[in-house]
Amino acid sequence: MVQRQPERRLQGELRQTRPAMKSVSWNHRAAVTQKSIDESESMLDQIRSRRGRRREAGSQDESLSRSVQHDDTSEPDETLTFRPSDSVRADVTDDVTDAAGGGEGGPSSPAGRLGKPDRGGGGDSPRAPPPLAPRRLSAAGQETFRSQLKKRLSLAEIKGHGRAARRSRAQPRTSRFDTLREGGTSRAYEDYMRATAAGRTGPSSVQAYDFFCRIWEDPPSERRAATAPATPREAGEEASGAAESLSLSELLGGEQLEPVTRHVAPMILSRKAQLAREADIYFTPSPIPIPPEERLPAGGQARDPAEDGIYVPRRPHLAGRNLHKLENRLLHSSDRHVRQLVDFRLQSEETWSWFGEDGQLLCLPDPLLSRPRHRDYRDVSEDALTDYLPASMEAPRPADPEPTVSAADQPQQLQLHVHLVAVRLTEHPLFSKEHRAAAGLEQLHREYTALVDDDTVNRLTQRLWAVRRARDGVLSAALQLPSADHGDHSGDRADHSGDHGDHTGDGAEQVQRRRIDDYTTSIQRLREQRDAAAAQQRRLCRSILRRWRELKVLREDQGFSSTPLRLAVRELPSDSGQETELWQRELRAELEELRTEHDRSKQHLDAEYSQQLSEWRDRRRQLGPDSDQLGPRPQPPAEFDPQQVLADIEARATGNRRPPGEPKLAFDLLDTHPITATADCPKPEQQRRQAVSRCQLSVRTLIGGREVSHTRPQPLSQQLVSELHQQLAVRLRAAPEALQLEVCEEGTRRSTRTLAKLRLPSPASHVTERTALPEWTAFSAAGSGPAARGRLQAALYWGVDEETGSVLAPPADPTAEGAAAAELAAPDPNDPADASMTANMPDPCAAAEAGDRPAPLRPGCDGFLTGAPDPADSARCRLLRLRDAGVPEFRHVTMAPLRDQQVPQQLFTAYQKRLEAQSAAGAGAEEAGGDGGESARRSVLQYQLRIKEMVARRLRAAQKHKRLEDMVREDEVPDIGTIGSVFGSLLSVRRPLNPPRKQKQSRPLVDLQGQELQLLCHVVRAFNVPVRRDTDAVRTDYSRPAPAAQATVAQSSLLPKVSVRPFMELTFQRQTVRSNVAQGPNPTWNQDLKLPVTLPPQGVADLHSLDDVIHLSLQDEMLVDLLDDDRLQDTNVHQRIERRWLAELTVPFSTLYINGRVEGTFRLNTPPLLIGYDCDVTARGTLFHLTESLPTGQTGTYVTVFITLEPPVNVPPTVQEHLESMETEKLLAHCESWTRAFRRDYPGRRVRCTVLDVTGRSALVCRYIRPLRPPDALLAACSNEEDQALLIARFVSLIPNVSDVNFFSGMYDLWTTCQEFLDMQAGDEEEHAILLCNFFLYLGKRAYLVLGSGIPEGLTAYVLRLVQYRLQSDPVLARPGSGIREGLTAYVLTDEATNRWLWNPCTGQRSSAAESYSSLLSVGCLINAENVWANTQVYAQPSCISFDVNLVGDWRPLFTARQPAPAEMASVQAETLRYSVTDTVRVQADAERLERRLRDHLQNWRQRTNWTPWNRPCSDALRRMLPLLERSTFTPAISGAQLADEQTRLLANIHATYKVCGVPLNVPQHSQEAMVEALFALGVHRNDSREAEFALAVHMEPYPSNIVAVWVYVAALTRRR
Amino acid sequence: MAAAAAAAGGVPSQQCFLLSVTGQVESARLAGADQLYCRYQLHGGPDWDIVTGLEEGISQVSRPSQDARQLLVWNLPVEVSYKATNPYGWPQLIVSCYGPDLFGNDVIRGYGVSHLPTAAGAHRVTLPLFVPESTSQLQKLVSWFTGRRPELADASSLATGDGRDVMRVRSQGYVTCSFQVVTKDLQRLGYDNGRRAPAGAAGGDLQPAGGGDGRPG
Repeated sequence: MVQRQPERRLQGELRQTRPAMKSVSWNHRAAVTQKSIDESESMLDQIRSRRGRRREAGSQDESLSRSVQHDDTSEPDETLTFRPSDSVRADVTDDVTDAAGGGEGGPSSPAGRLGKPDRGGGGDSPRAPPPLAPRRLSAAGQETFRSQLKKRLSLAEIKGHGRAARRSRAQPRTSRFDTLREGGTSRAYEDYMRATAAGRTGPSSVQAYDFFCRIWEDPPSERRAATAPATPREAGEEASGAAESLSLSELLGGEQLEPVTRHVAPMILSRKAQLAREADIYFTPSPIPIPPEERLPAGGQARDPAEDGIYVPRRPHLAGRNLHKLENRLLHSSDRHVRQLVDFRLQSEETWSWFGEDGQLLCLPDPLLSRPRHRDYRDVSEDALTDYLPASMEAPRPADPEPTVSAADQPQQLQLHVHLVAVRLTEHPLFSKEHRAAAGLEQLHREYTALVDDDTVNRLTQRLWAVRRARDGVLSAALQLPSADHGDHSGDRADHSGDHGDHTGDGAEQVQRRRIDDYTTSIQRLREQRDAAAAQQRRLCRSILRRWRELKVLREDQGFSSTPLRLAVRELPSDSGQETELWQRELRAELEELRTEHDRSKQHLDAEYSQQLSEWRDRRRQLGPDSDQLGPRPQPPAEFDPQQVLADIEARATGNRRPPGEPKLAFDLLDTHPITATADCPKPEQQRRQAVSRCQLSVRTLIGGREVSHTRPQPLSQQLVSELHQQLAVRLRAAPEALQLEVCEEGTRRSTRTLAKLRLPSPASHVTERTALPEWTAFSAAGSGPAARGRLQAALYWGVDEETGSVLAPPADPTAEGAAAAELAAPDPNDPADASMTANMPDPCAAAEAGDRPAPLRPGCDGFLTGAPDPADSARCRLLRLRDAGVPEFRHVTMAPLRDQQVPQQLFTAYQKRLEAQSAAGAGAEEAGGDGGESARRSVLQYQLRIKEMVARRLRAAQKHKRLEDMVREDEVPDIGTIGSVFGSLLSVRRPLNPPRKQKQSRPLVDLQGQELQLLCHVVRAFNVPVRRDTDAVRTDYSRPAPAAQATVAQSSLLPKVSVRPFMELTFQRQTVRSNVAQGPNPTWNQDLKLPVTLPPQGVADLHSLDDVIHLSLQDEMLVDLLDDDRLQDTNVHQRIERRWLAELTVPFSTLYINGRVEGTFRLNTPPLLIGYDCDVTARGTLFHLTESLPTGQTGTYVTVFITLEPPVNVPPTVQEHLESMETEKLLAHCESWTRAFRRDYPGRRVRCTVLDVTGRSALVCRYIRPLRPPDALLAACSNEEDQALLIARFVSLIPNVSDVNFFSGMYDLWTTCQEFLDMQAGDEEEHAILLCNFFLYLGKRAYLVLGSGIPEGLTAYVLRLVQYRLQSDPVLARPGSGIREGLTAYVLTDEATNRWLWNPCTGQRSSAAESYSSLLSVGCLINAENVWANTQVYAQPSCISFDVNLVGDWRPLFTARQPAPAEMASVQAETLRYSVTDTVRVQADAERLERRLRDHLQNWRQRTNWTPWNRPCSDALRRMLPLLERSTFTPAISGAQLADEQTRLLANIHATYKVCGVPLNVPQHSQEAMVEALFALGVHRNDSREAEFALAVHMEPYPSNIVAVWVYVAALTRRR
Repeated sequence: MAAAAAAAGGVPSQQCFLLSVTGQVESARLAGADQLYCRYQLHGGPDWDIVTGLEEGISQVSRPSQDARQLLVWNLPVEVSYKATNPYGWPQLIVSCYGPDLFGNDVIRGYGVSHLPTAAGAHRVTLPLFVPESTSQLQKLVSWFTGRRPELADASSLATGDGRDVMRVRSQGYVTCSFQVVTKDLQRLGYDNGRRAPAGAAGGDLQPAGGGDGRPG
């Protein structure tokens, strides 16, 4: 029943499909319903037509069969399966009829599909599958079916779509079936059917095969073929179900679905049952202790180890309750898991238990345990762990393989590695006698050790005995055999009698004899060899001992030792009895052998003798008995004399071998002998050692005559060993025959002498790094040079390709291997030592194939590709190292190139240049170059740079230590203060019209990456702006106007309506932004000015190194009428805007950066003279509160500004580091406690006890104070003491002021000594103050250094003390307590008989200490050379305090009687200061150069107008004016009025024709760039008038020590009309 | 990636190696987190340059899955191609997870960091998460109330070793990431990243078709 197979398969399918069908959703079904109803109609039609056709068919079998076939074209299986035989057909028809007649039955029965036995009707159904389609229904059946369907449909319509759809699920299948048949989707099927129809006789074998092998596309069609259901009702339902599933399967494309949700009924247990179940699962350990017997193993007895005297460490504390719980858990838990664990443990290690012998839980480490019990990471399987491969530096591969060479003809690549380990000299001119002796000893020892290690003597002895035994065995066999088989084998006897040699015997006998002969000769040979080896060993022994004695004597003689060699002689244990026995045995054996030999040779000798004798007799007979020619009578061969022979043997043995009883010696060469220190050696030896230490060895490697590498010279150790340890990889195209190495000696004078040359054969092709061992190769000097011998240790091996793992070696040369094989007498194929050879032996079978193998490479070697340089020398490595070290040039290098060639060289050249410059600057800073003063200045700058670099390095190292605040952002815990302020702010008066500025949250620098940093300046207002004088009116009398007080009244009516139109201009980094124009002398702008900050190239992190200056200038905008024709005045406006520089405020950027903001009212820097403006008109009406609060005599222009950065930047914190100090620990501790105590009591006051110097060491401040002589020129300049002081103050103030912050790129407060200060020509006010103080002390004044906080030059900290001009702020305008850090400053107090003066060292100005106004706000401490006094008075204002340091209540000294000052207080200052002489000629030249430069710049800036005419007369007049201005700064006698008069006088002629607007600038000489910037900020060049002319004058006033006061007067002139 | 290599300006393509990583920040297991979003950022050394792809990304807010795993799935794609001249500073992926706390404040839920895999192929990496601890119990309480828990000032500082010694952290959960890594020219330039090439493959690295470096096989 083959035919049933496909059907069974289908049944199975259906079974699977059916449950899936049920899960289709309801909606889906509804959608299908209508369709299925339509389709059921069409199905009925088809059935009708089919019935018609059936009727036409004949009743014969054949025709029926045909009709069936024809009819069911789409059901090949049925047609094929059932060759219609009557019975079957009848059965089927009956079945169907029954089914149809069953009423509710569908067209097919699911029972058949499900493979269940039929439950009724056709009893034959088990026998035959139900393959018939409903199309073959009988007429009656069809009628019933139709009516049934109709009834169903109507029912469906009534009951709703859902039900109907489910019931009529059968229809779509039919329709599909029909479309299949009619539409011809299954073409293959149709073809097949056609063929079948053509054949008529049934399928051919091919067709049958095809049928069974093909996968039909329409398997659902068979599902209709089902047997009739058993129970009609059930069958009906199932039929509809089947229909349902079929249609759904069609819709779903045969997909099987899983139920989306599964409803499981909640399992509710009674509480009791629940508890019972939980009891199984849960275990609640009780906290009750377990009795000890339970804790012990069965039958155990608790034993306290402590009682046994065993040390028991303290047990870790554990709460008893928890402990008991744990014990309970371990013991009583019903949980199988723990039990199993315990059991497992117990099984695996019998002794293991949770509890110790004392019944306590084990919780202490067991010292006896070899392996920890916890799971180690090493227990993890190997696969789970990542392998760690250490990084290795390998020779880089060739950059790029030539693209032209294809893979095919790419020559073979070889990679030869040479590892040069060491060179050891054994003879050299530098060798001392002792070295030579030691080398000899070493050589002997090496030979001896080789012999001993080889065990030659023993080995030969063993072999000797083995051969002897073999011989004896053969002999005894020969003796015994004849006794066993006496008659048969006469040959055996022959063997036996072989010694006697009287038998010729047969073949076997011959063999035996030959063997014995062989043995005998080999015994003889071995004996000789053994004796020779033993003799050599013994000789070596003797030589070693002799050499060692010689060496010892030598050392004693010369009185020192320069080699560490020492011979240790050990006596090895020996058994004398056994040795004697062996010795005797050996002697006996030898004697016996000699006897045998003698016997053997005796016959021959006898024969010879008899022959000789007969010859002799013949001769005697012929010649006569007494003839001279007769010769002596031949002697008969000597008889064997055992005694004599034995004596000989013994004597020889004693000479060669160690006789029994003599101690057995072993030698060890140690290098433990103390070497005499060089200092203790005699002169020649010292010289020799020096020569050795100078000597260096290097090795040159040559391949094919070309040098591949030359190792770095390595120094020779005193033992004349040079450790090279260098590896070299060479890429080759052909294997070289040998490698030539040259050992070179690098002489003292850069001369290289080749010591020796040696050749190393290239390694065998299987030698790789793993198998290669460094070997010593001896070399000796070639040529005429002094003799030198030595040994070189080197390893040669082939490289391994990383990727393929193949050895980059030439293919093994079979001929060479053959030659090697020939050398060996008999290579054993089984010997592993010969494996490589046998593996390489040409296989005879493969020989034919191997014919086309490439010929072995010719050893010509011009083909190496690259020599690998030492990676440490490569440019890239250097770059990476420098970057890692944070060298500024390299710190920001990204994408460091991979190859040396691509590393830009200019990167290094810049660095090198800097290094050289630094070293040059350090060597001789003061050499005068051709460039005049500028070169000296440059050298000073380089000195500064060097110090800067050093400090920066220190700082960077400190910054690497991050703090928690740097890492984690965390809110502060509100303390009482903050809470109080929060509530306080709620209660405070609300003033909406006076909004305070809110502090912005500043952010760390890292957050700013990628953001634009902006400078934000809010200019509020200005007071007391100079007003224009009526310059249009040509005055005739150039006298000074009336005094201010009178003029105010007098001029107020005369003043023009708009006296001045000021605006503020912000200049930073050459960018400019200006405010609007306000009117009048007291303008209000209230305007924000913003400028972008160009960050340093290194990014935000180096913001503090930005040393640009913010210029804020006050300017006057003037409208100049350009209309030439007065008639146009009414109709036209033609004006030009001109600007006049009035005053300026400069703030270094670092100040802003440190403080975060600069806020307040500042006095602007006004020039001493301003042409065309009235500066000193103070009382001009509307000065608000200012007028009243301005102290009398205060003049100047004030501006209220607020400058900050946007976004705000976090200030890097001060580095608090405990650095080394020159003070004692005790003193430091005292200083610290004193400072802390004072700070606690007086938080606002500034004290310093110890400060850092430039080397980073801290020192007591007192050490900085020491009288120092000022330059003689200054002392000589004035006779008046007061003038002298002023001049000195002026001198000190001229030294440029650079803050530590800027200079030392961090928060260090470093104090330089006066000499360093003068050398660097830069420092902040502490340095100025110290220098001034020291000068004053020299002058005999009582001077103190005053450290205090205040607003020396402005409200904020560093702000204005860094300003390069004389700046003063109005103290009254400052609002202390506005949250800004107050400036820390240093002053000098001179205590004179008449007056106490406070000197501002940065301006050179002095003020009386008693003056109610002082720019110093609070005094922190006074310092002189002996002590430090901290201010403990109620007030800190200088005007309010007493400066008498002896008053204990007012001043707290650092050193008291109880805590005295250190005995010696060596000053850090040099005794006298070195002042370099200022070259006045050079200064003059500098001034001219500066003037030229400034002119050039001015012309460049005026590019727009093309032409810059210079007014020479005016320039000359201004130049004459400048020295006077300089003098006025330190001569109080010259007043401002006098200056103005003088100027008016000088400019009288010019004023007649021009309107002059000019400004004098006074800049301490910092750099020319700074002056250029200052000039740019003046904005004089921005004069667009075509008629404008310019005047520029530069004056440099030289002071000693290259200090120069620079004055620049610049003016713009406009011709009067 | 060949196009990417061509687009990589500055360093010629032969002189650098390329690392292309595609992958995703798949999911997190973080107990107690109801809603969570994450932000990833990549941090490479000085010799690394992004050729294509985004250096940072932020995910949607995810809720834990409704099963026992309680997975918070993002599947946030990470696609980046680097070119580099030095394996030093191999890029690292830093994942920061945020989510609302009890009071609805957005707080940090965990930081995790991992190097991108060095070997070519598919990798699955589990990053342990941690958060900085408050410096004191009082601060802990305050930060819990205010919802301003301690955060890293700069998450990329995790990629460098600086300052690890000063902060204390508490571990939180895990983030799972999957990466598919392709490297190019690593072995040609002499770097061995532990992955041997199958015999017969040209070059050592997995490389795209057409991206061959002309190395004879």
